[in-house]
Amino acid sequence: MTDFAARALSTFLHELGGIAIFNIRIARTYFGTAGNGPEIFRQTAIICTRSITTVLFAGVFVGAILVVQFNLMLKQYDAQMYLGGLNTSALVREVGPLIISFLLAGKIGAFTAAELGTMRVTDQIDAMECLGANPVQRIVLPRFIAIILASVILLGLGLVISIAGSTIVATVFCGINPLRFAGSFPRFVGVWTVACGMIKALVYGVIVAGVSCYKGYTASGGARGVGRAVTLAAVYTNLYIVIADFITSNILEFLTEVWRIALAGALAWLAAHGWIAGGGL
Amino acid sequence: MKTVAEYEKELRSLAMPLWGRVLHHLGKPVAEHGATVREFWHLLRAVLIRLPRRPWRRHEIAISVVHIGIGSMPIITIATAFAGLVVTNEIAWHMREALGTISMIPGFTAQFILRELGIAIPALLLTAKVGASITAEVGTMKVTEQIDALRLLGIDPVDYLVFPRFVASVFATACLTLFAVAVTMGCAISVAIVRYNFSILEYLNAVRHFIGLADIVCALVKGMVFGGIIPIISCAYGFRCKPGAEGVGTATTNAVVASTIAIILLDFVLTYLFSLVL
Repeated sequence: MTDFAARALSTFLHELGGIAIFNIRIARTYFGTAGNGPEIFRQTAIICTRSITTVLFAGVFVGAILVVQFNLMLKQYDAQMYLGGLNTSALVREVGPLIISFLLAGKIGAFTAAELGTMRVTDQIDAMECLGANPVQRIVLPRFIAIILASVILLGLGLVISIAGSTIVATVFCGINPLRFAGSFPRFVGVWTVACGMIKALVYGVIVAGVSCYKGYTASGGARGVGRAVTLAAVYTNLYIVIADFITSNILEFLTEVWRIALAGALAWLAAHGWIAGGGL
Repeated sequence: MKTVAEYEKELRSLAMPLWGRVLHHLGKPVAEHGATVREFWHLLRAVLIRLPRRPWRRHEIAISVVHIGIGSMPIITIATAFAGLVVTNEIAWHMREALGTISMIPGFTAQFILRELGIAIPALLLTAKVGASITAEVGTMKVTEQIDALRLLGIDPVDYLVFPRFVASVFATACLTLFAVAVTMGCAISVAIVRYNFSILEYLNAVRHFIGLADIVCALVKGMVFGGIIPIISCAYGFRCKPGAEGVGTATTNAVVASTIAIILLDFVLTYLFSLVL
């Protein structure tokens, strides 16, 4: 058992170190070269168009699942008037980014790992190096940045459609008036809630990009190797996303307090100087 | 160079009215996905018909159970532990906003974990861990013509490859679901004790009022359904894998995405059905 744990831990640390070194190399390439813009834009467009139907389809059902669960729980406390706000807040802050980025790990991450892995095992990357081109700049860097951009865009769209889906399901399956459902949004959902969701989307995008590019780039051993690279990319991305979820949740909880104090302070300052009517909030 | 038939097809599509072209572009993916779902259904039916017959292939099933169940245990432990740490904080924050009290944490957390979180997170992790590896394995066999060799020897690939994995996955996922729920609950309880000053007896007493045997049975059913669809979808994509390294990569990606979508979809259906019962 100790042997097993030690082996697992050393594999984990080995992976983490490899990913870190690879990402430093990408960052150095990004800041050291110019003219990557058009290729990044092209890759972002490709990734977005390829994944958008899947994300929208899944988004509707993520919202639907959550609203059915919350309705069941809140019914016991007779607190169904909070259903809309609670559901949307949980969806935007926590569950939506988590589940949709699991999907993106499979869709974008695994695809990128497969693409780069195929290039590696068919010696295309070695050929590029022989011709004097930098493969990290030509093929990895555009995908890396494009995955981050695309996952933020796709997660934003997914969250919007999941709120729409949850409203529809609350109306049709739970018999709640959609206006009452939407009426409780302002109490729970504000600019900061959406910002939290988007910050998480950005973090998960970086994870998907880093892990899948690394796994694809370092694949070896023919068709079996590509399959293994794809599997490991999906698994490690999901694992890191759950861990990052915990870390970002705690940091964002702290920042939420900071935001509240800053907002209250700013409003008090404005009121004291006569810019707005006093006694706000 | 395009062939004459392709030119004719293009001309015909141009001659279609606008609504015809729109319907064509909307209908094509629907028809393709419909064909894929039918393929899953045929595979599932073949496995289910095979289920009551002997031999049961106990040895292969045992190997698959070890591979799927024990092999996924570390990753599921880590992931669900972190999910459990997050869920108490989130629920406490929302409870404080909505009801102005955090005394409802135990019941709410336990219900959410047992009905949704403790089942969906392991299932989504298993699609990546187990599903992708099954597709890669079966796809590699297909590419290297091992499946054709099996057919040549008169061995049914469904019987030889899909059936043991299906039985093992259903069994292993049922066990892993209970294990994941336990880990998540443990982490959620420890956060509630350390951070929100609950005592463990108070917590467990409150939990007992909110969950019953029906919840656990529903969780097991959900886990077994998810465990059943992962190998079916993965094997289906493995069987139609295109040749070459690229084919295996594409098949694996498609299998992970299709399983994730299927799990989210079935999760909604089952959640709604159970919400009528519970």
